[in-house]
Amino acid sequence: MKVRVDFVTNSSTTSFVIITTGDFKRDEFFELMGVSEQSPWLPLFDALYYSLQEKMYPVEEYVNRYGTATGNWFESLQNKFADEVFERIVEAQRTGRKVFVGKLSSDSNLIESFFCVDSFEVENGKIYFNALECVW
Amino acid sequence: MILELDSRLIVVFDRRYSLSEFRLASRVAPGSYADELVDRIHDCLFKYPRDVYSEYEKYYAIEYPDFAEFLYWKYRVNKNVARKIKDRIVNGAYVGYGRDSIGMFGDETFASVLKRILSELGEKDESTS
Repeated sequence: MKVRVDFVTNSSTTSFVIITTGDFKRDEFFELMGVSEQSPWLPLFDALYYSLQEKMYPVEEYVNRYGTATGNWFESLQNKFADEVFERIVEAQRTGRKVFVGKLSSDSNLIESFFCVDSFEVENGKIYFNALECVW
Repeated sequence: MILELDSRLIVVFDRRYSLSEFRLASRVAPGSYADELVDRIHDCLFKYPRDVYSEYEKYYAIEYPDFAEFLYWKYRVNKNVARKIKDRIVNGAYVGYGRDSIGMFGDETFASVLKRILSELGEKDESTS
């Protein structure tokens, strides 16, 4: 849960970062989140997977879409994310891993809205998924 | 049955399911994000809500001879629904009241997930709303 002690509006967005060794695959996402094909929770994480798929962009494209026009997309990201996350992005780019960035919105469906206001960071050997950056 | 009244919650189930059985039916990897989510959902539905029927018997039974009336006046539960809840109390159902909903209970996908878990746990009335 994110808590903000300031003026709070009714909607929020959470920027997320996904770093993968290859494509962002459904079965690998389930493995990351801890859901098996037999789990009753699968449809919920399926809905999250498709929300992420729909809203994520390769990092350069994301910055071109939403970043401020500073010219350097690395600089835009540095301003947007915590240092540790930015360093991960840089390292991933250097080692040829894929970096995707996007936003979940609380104005969307109830499932996306729930994950938008939740706060988490998970990773395994294949995927790093960070949903800590909340913008109210 | 889950009733969301603004951000408050009335839950009605055959009994309070334990975390261990809820986890077992959820079939998620221990220590994973999904496991943590299962814990939170369980707490929200079964751990934190106060027992409404015990509260009724202890403090309100004289003032409201009818449990359904109590649900209507105290919690603003629709009269028809209140009567259904009263019928389930006869069989020892658990009626809980919580102040914090997680905001996802109205979603159809979530409802189907919960329905499947409750079905595996032997819940007779699996309606989640």
